[in-house]
Parts: sequence; C-alpha cells; structure tokens
Amino acid sequence: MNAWLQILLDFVWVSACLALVSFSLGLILGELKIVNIAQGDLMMVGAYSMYALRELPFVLALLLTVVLGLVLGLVLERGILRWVYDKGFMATLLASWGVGTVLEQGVAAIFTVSQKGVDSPLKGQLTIGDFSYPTYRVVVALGIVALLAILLLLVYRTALGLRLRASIDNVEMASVLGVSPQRMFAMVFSVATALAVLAGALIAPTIAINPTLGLSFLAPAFFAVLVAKPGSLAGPIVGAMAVQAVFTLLQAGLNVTVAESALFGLLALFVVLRPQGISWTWKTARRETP
Amino acid sequence: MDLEDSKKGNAMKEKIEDWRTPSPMISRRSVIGGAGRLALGLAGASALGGLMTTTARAAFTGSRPYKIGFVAPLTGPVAPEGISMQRGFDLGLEHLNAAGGIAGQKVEAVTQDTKADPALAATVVKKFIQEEKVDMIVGTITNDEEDAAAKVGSAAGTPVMFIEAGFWHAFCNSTAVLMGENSFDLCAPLVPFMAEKFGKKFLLIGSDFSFPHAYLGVAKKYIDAVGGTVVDELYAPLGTPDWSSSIAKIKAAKPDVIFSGVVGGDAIGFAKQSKDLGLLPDAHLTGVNLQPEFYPAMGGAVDGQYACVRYSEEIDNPDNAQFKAAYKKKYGEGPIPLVGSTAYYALRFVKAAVEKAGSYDKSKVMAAFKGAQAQTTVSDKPLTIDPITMNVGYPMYICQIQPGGLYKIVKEVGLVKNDLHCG
Repeated sequence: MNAWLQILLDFVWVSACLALVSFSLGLILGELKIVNIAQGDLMMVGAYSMYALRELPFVLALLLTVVLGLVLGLVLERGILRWVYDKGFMATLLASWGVGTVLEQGVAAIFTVSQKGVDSPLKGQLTIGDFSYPTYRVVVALGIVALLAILLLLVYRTALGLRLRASIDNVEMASVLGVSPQRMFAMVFSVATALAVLAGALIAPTIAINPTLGLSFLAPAFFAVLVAKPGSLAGPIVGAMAVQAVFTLLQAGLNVTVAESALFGLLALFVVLRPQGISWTWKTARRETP
Repeated sequence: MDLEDSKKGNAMKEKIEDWRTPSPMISRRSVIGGAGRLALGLAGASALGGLMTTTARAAFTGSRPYKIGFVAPLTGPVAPEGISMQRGFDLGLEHLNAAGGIAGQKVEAVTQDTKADPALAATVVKKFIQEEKVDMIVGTITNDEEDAAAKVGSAAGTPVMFIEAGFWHAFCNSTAVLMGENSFDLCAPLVPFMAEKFGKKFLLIGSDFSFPHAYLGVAKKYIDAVGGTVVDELYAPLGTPDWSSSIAKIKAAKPDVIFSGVVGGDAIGFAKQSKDLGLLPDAHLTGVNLQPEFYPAMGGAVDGQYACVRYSEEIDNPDNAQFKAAYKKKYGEGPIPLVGSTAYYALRFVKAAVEKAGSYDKSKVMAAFKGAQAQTTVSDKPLTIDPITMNVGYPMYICQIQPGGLYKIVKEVGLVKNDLHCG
C-alpha cells in the first residue's frame, strides 16, 4: 500500500516538473516553429541560478531566477534566433543547439563542472499514518499544477491568448489582422524560457547540479510534445503525464536502464503508428518566411 | 559493454597497426621479469647479491634528461580534476628535480590537454611517443581516456601511468601502471565490516557502466564469503536525474546494507533523494558512492555512514604536511583533491622504477615497475606496486563520515590481499 502511494506521489512530482518543461517546449514549437534543443540547458541555467543565489531566501531567489529567465529568453530571441527564422528548420535547430552548448560551457567556465547542491527550503515530511513524503515535492507539484492552470486560462480565456492561438494557427493571417509576429515571438520565447528556467530552479534542491543536467529531461519532454495533439498548448501537459505514467510503470518492474530503453522504444513506436504527432513538425519544415 | 569495448579496441588497433613495434613485447617482458626474480633470489641468498644490486643502482646515471609526456583533461567535463592533477604533477616534478631528479638527471615534461576526449588522448599519446620521443606517459582522468591511452602506449611498448585508475581487466598485458586502488581494496575490508555491524542482507545498486558492474561483482564475492545474501541488484544509466523508483524498491526490499556503485553526479543525486524520501539516515549506505570528493554537494545526506577509503584528512605525516603547505603556497588555500596529491608522489614511483631498471629502456623500466616501492603522502611506510595488477597497494581505512565532511578513521585495515590475475 505504502509502496504504491510512494509510486503515485513520485509520479505526480516528476510529471509536474516534466509538464512544465514540455509546456514551454510546446509553446516555442507551436508559436516559433522551432525545435528548441536548448530547453534542457535553460533548465540547467535555472538550477545554477538557484545555486548562485543560495544565500538569499528561497522565494526571492526563485523570483530573481524567473526574471533572469525572461531576460535571457528575450536576449536569445532578439539577439540570435530571429536572424535564422527564414533560414529554415535546420538553421533554427542548429542555432538552438549552439545556444545550448554555449550555455553549458559558459556555466562550466563560471562554476566549474564539479557537482553542486542547493538546500531544500522545506525540509519537513508530510506524514499520513506511517507513510511520509517530502513536503517540498508536494508543495512544488501543487504549485506547478496551479501555474499551468493559470497559463492555460490565459491561453484559452483571454484576448492575449486568442492572439497567441491565432498566431500559432496561421502567423501570416494573424499578422494581417494586427498581431505582430515579432512581438509575439519575443514574448512567447521569453515566457517559455522563464518557464524552463523555473522548472530547473524548482528541481534544483532534489538533484545534483551539473552543466549537463538538462539533457536527461530533454528527450522525455520532446516525446511528451510529440505524442500530444498537434497544435494544442494543453497537449504537451497531457503528453508529459502519459510519458511519465508509462515510465513509472516500467520502472516499477524493470531496472532503470532497461525501463528507459523500453520507454523510448515504445514512444518511438507510438509516434510511428500515430504520425499525426509529427505532422506538426513537418509543417515547420515547409514553412515559408514569417 | 564488453562488445563495445572490443569494437573500440579493434578500431584502435587498425589505426595504430602501421606503426606498431614489431618486437613481441609481452614475451620479452616476462623474460625480464624472470631474470628480475632470479636476481632477487640471489640478493636474498647472499650478501654478494645485495652488494651487486646496490652497486648497480648507484652506478647508473642517465645519459640525458628523462622525458615524460603529461596528458591531462585541462578543459572539458573533468577539467577540475585535470587541473588538480596538473598542479600536483608540476609540484612533484619541481620537488623531484630539486632533489636530484631521476638517475642523476633532470626530468623534463611536455604537457597537452586531452579535453577528456579519448580520441584526442590517443592522438596526444601517439604524438608524444613518436615526435616528442618521451620515455613514458603520465596522466589522464577518465576510464575512456585511459583505455585509449593504454592501447596506444602498449602498442608502442611505452609505460603509461594513470593517476586515477585502479585495476581494470582491460589493462592486463598492457604497459599501464596504476596509481589508484583496486576494487578488492575497496570491497574486501568493507563487506565484512558492514555485515558484522548491520546484518548480512545486502542490496547492490550501481551506475550502469563497466566499472560499477565490476566493482559490485567483487563485492558479491565477499558477500558470499561472509554468508550474506544479495536481495536485489539495481542499475541505472549515468545521468539519471530521478532515483525514486530505485529508492522505492530499496524500501520494499529492506536490506541491512545498501552497497552502492553509483558514481559522479548520480552518487550525489541518489544520496540526496534517499534522504528526501526517508531512506536515509536510517538505512546503511556504503560503497564508492561515498567518495570524499562527492561529499560537499551531498548536503549532509550521508553523515554517519561508513566508507572505505585510502585517504583521510586524519592521516598525518611530515611528507603530507610539507606537500600541503607547498601546494597551498603555490595554488592558494582550499581543499586539495586526492588526485592532486596522487599526481604529486606518482613521479617517485617513476624514479624508483627507472633507477631499479638501471636504464631508460622502456621494457626494462616497465619490468622494474613491478614491485617498485616509493614513499607517498598517504602513509608512513613506502607503498608497493603490485606486480600482477600493476596498481599501488594502499593501506585502506574504514571511516565514519562526520557532519561537515571529516572522514573519521574507525578502523585501519592495512594492505588488502587480492587474488586478481590477468587472463
């Protein structure tokens, strides 16, 4: 009983973090039609930011980290990505890969590559009978759920969200109707970057922080986006839960190495059998200049 | 993993085939080894023999400076270790030359960065041997670099000394000399200690690559020997961020001892999450997971646990005190990583071997490394290179980790016997 409760709570915790990253990845893919390879590295930046600010109160450090994410996103979009939008799918892919590499090496140069750790601000455990679970994970998971709910309300219930969805659907038509693609791109990339940075900052107290930590989150997040309903911003969240649910079940029965291979095998198979998932990226490849 | 290794090996062989030395190096080495043993027997049997060896040693003066190719990952993922290693090496070289060098000659070194890239390490080693005409290679941090360097060095009959490596079957019949401890040193004292203290139900967990598999394989032998059982054996790939499924399995299995071959950043993640999820501090975690260099990032998760190590800050001797003072004077305050101190005394084994060989001849020096002795900073007594495994035999310590990271010695194990062999 307790074992299952732990598995359930582990699932909630990991899938919440994964959902946040997948949502930000889906946002960028949807609006900018870019496969942002650097998304994992942006998480890593968030974790290092928390390490650098570890002397400050946790919430303050978190706020500063999110601000850093917003600024970083704006700088990357205005400074680098906008110059390669019209160079095609491969150019944007390579540009984001380059950004990721620069972030990894830059962080390694500043902090060295040795492992870093951040203390958890909530050290307590929530106890039900003889079962206990770290308070921090529960609080953060609930916080992420609330944040994603607010973001989805923004997307589906506000004028800004309407413009965003219009722009995702047909950027040329939306721009004719007065939605500036430049502004929308900059805003979306900036917000999505901040979300990835936030995800990294939130998991920082639970992991060993090193410059390549983002890589292990990138593949599941991509699959979460791929298995989702194309074009839907809520899709990657559902995708993240689906991917993590399968992974959790596989891990319960198998060694982690085997479970991981099986997971990616199954996901690849799913994408082959349901290619609607990748039709989205195909559109990207053939897309004309914005 | 084995398959991959052998594939890598083949590719390497093809590359270096054209410049491979034609001499059947291994058989030559064993002949010399035999001759050495014969000489040793004579020395023991008669005073004359003893006199002969002393005269031979004193009589040998090198005709030119002894030249070392130092290869180190000074940039890239393991740069901090690479740089510490270089600092220790440079300081060791300086002190060695100040004390008269090797065979009455100065020691020269050429240095090049490998970026922790095995292909680059192979190229650098090859360049050092062919163009710089070095007498031996010293350095490297990662297993991959070592494998690559050992292959190139062995093909050229050049001794290669690894600062971090312990015994590894891949190094059998190679020209590798290893400054690290082997898995037997790490497991043999620890398994009985843990079994006696906490119980005989062991759970093994490791990062999923060759070293942890080999290490836990050795642990299993000793668990069998004490009549213990292995309740489960878990592996997770390097770079695993989330350990909760493994931790849930450990909780369900309720082992007396968690014997961990989880390394690097994963060791830290695993320990931290074990604490978060309530497995620690009540469970008993041990193994290479608790290497002192991982301690600072583990945030106290492993306080109170027991580890088997070859070095503790508590080891105090004049040699180490002098080294520490010189290192801090040259490179500033702060903790000195083990790799730095190992690189510092590594050259003393080179000196011992070359002077014992009485020649710069690579195969003679290689043979002389077997059983070569030198004083180190980690022990009052001189340490010896095991003639079979070619790694330095270290007196091991079982330590209890104190809050703040002091590894407090609770048991001095001394030198550990092993039955390792090649073939």
